[in-house]
Amino acid sequence: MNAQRGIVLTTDLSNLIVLENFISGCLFLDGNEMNRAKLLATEFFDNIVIHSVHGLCGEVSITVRKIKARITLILKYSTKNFGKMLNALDTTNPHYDVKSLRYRGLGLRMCRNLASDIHYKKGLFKSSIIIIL
Amino acid sequence: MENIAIVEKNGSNYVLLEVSGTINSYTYTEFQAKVYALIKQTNLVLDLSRVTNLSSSGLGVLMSALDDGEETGNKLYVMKPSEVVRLAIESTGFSEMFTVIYSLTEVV
Repeated sequence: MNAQRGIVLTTDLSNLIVLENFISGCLFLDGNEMNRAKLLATEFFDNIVIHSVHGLCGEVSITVRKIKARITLILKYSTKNFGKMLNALDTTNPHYDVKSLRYRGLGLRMCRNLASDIHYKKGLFKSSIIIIL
Repeated sequence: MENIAIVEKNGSNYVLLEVSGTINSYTYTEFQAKVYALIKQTNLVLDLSRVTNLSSSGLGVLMSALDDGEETGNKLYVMKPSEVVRLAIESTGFSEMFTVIYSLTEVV
């Protein structure tokens, strides 16, 4: 079965709840796929909201696609510091942050372990994060 | 912040927090405040069976609470983690750090 759903969200942390509900509504995913998709989509969305310097518009489009057994999540957004995020991929490790009083840097580790592959594509107007479950 | 609900119950040598909803960057502050305050005083049991998502910010709180518990001699228990919680913990590679229980009788 092939299926696809999409949503566009403004870059606001309150939309994490909307995103979770959106993934829960992707009924073409089974339980394990839905849980992994939920964790991955919300981690990347969270990262974009907190760290991205927005470009043309403060919106993120999220697409969940299932073609045969292959599930893909695509987050597409306009940003001015995509390169900085790419650099951080190699340097971010779990660490205790005295400002927020908690461990940080776990999200990337989670995503790498939950996804089978992650691609980063810098576009002229919008950049994309493509996650293969 | 109505997307997370925390019910506190007292046991003989522990406090139980029954958490339902989602623990993410938008909702974690109340959870963080309660967990940090309680782990300094007593053993803490977190019933996470009704948690629908656990982000890295929530996991960061749990890991910091493990440190705090070690310093104070109190223990943190994760009780009946939902599938998404189990998956989130496993995905960090730190699951062996957490004591997972399925009944309050396992609290030492």
